[in-house]
Amino acid sequence: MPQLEVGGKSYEVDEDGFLQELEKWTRDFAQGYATIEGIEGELTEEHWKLIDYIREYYAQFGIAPMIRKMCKDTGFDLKKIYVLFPSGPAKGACKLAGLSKPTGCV
Amino acid sequence: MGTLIVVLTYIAYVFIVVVYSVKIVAWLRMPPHIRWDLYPVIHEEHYRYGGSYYEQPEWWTKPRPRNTWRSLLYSLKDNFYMGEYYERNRLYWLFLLPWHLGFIFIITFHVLCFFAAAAMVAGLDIAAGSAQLAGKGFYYLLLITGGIAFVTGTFGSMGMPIVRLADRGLRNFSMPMNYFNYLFFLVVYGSGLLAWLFLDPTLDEYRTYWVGLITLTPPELHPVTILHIVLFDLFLIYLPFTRSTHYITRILAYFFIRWDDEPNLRGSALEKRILGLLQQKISWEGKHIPKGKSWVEAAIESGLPEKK
Amino acid sequence: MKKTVHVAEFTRLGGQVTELDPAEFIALPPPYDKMEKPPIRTLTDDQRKRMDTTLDGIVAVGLQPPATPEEEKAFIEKFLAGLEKLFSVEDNWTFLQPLMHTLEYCVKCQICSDACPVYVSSGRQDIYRPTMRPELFRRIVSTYVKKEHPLLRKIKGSDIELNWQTLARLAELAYRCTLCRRCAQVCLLGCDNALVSREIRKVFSQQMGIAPKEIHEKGSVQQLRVGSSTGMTPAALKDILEFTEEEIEAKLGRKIKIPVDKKGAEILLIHNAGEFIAWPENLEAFVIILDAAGVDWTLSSEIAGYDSINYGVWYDDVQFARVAIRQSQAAKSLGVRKISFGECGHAHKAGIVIADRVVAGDLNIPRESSLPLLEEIVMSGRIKLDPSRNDFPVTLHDPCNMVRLMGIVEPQRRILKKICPQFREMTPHGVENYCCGGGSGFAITQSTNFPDWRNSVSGRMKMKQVLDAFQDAPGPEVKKYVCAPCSNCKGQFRDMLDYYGAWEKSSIYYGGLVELIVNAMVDLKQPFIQWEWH
Ligand code: SF4
Ligand code: SF4
Repeated sequence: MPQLEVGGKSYEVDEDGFLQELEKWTRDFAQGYATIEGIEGELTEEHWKLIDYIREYYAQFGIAPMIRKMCKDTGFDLKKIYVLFPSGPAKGACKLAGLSKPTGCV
Repeated sequence: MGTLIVVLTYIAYVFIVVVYSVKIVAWLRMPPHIRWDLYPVIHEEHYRYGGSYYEQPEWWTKPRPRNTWRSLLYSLKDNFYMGEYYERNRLYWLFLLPWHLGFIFIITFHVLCFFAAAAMVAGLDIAAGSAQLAGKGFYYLLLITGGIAFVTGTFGSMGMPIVRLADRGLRNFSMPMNYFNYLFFLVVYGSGLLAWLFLDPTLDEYRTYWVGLITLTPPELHPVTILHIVLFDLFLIYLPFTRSTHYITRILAYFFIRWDDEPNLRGSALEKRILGLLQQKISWEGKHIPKGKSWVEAAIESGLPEKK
Repeated sequence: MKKTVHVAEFTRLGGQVTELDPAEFIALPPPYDKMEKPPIRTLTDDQRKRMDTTLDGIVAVGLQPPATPEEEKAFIEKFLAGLEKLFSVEDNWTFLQPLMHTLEYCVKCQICSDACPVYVSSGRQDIYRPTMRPELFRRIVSTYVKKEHPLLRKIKGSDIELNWQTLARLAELAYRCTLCRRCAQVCLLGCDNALVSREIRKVFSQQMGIAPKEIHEKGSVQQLRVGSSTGMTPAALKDILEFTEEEIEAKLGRKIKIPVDKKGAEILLIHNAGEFIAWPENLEAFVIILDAAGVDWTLSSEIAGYDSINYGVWYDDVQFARVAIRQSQAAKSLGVRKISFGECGHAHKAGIVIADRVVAGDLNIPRESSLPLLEEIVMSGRIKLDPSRNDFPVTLHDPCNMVRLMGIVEPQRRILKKICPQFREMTPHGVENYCCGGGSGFAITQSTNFPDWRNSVSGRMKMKQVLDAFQDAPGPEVKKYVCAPCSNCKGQFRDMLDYYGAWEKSSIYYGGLVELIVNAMVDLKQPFIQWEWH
């Protein structure tokens, strides 16, 4: 399993950098990973709103939320999400939120 | 010499028939498989565009008309025409088809010789100038089939190694046996062609030979004809060791694999067979497959969701 | 002159059998002939150490090299033991006859090569010939399973000396074929090289437990464990359906209750659960149509009852049987009269055709495609449609599983011809279609550089077909729609159109069939298709 150094700590990730151990996630991880993902500076309140939303949904249902629902519940449209997370909702936002890669025909 | 030919010919024919039959029976006796049909399925009503009975709502309540004759003709057609080769590799086809026609015609020729000889024993006179119409007909039929066999066979056997070496893909997938086959078959057809052109233009010797076979009297023949006959007998014995059975198995594959769209209806004989097969034990060693279980048990009893 | 790759090169230690050169790939029409980014990512040194990349530098399986010679030996022995099982009636009655036929009777004429989109798109790389895998496989069988005499092997050119590297390459190679079976269609001898790809995958999976993660561990295993390969539990399903109902209400102006676990319904609709998450408008459209047509239907919330997928059809007979049986059980417990499969190609072939000889007795509940039902609804006039609402160029992608593999060709066309004035066919289409490039699990295989390969090689022929179909309006001014009635194909189109920047360059969008039907419904105030979700 590949390891990834984020903020001085080592994490187990998959081949594409998705965190494998959900429970190891911390806000520092997300902040540290943001730099790797090419998001400049500190994560803003809007970033955290989305990350927290995703994590809460995941805690409740065991999967990432539908993008449509994510947009509706957070009030961000898809464009806005791409502004916040240039790699997009799945490869960007969910990754920072510590979720593993989406699977199945999605 | 004559005796040798008679014995060898009988052995050769019995051998090829037995080995081919064994191979075909073995093919057919393999258990029914999971459906793996591929469209167009020619017995289907909408075979032109490849449609199936699944195009109708509630297909199981509808009739499923099957045209078996159409399928049979369709599958046989390519034994004589090889359309995909014509479309996709014209040069190859140009030699491959004659090469195959050589097989078909040389065997047809010999079988016809048998009938001709039988008719001769019964009193028919087979010759160009025969007074009997049937005798005339037989004469020309034999001349045509024999002639085509020798010419196409020789042509094909000479051309095949050339295309095989000239085409990058074919060359890479060739085996030494391919080239041996071409050479051997060239000798078989070539000897026949020579004997016909230079020694026996009426192909009369073959009738003498077959009359000898039927009456079990060793025939008197020219050495070159004898050479061809011996080679032909060896050819018959050799054929079952090549992939030549594909002449028949390709049709079986069409009917029993590619076009096998028989649904497993409740209470059918097929369902019974399948249920039996599902009872067999499997020995796969992957972690997700339980040890010593049957198909049914493996599918039903394990891989269940975790208890919450 | 291209370098010829001989089978013997698969046994060479180290190095790559083939180096892919994008300049050799078949050309796409401009502006797609010039790609800004390197088409295929190279892997890091660290990744190359962990995973075998010695076939073509691409990773789908990514076997880890053995640490010791003993480990290597054990690996080879276990594989060979599995190989033997492929030829046993008990262990492989399921495909014994077609497998034996292909192994025995292929004459290696190479006629099938040019039918293969992967081979042709790649610029005719020998390793991707449909005949290459079976040839390598045949040699291993001849030498190690049949144990033919060395002299005979020489004559037949079937001698091979096996090492771990060869098997690692064989495993990868089995995942360079989309199982589209176009090669099998042109074979006059009735041979099926695609089947050999699948049988190789089976030995690796059923014997060694080796398969791409997305297909096995996160795929069929996860489906059997939680209910769906997406990880969607019944609770998550409920949440998603509630959201879907809200969306429908917003678009339609009235609420429709989505029936779940309705006992005794006429139809159990088994839909691909991936759609619920990624393309909810497809489910919405089904709901709207079935409701408007007054059909008595239901979804199921039982394990495997709400996810139509059956990945086993690509790599594993046992996993296949498990899912097929669960789906039938879900239908049986609801007491429905029949099962109808939503827009998903492999689920169609798996659930309707292949499962036919796996489920028996009272589990053998009639199963059908939803397309004929949709056709009946559209043609009957039960819903009011206005084709002028779909007045944009539309082309149809045929999922291999629906056309070549089960003969459902015309219903979808008759629908499109009725509701899309600018419908045009691709060439070729119907049973001679080309795979989207995402078949046999490729569309869901998302790790390392495999997606790059799938977009630039296995999907290339399809990309070309799509661009050709729209050549009358190539620019971005005209919005265009590729109708792909299959979740897997849609996944591939999403990735591929994005990879080539086809929205920015040409405004090409993709989606299912039912979306077009609902888009034409006069009941809707707003257009149903929302192009901004490209
Ligand atoms: S599979 Fe058929 S078409 Fe392909 S090489 Fe073999 S015999 Fe020829
Ligand atoms: S199944 Fe399709 S991808 Fe695979 S070898 Fe045949 S034509 Fe090529």
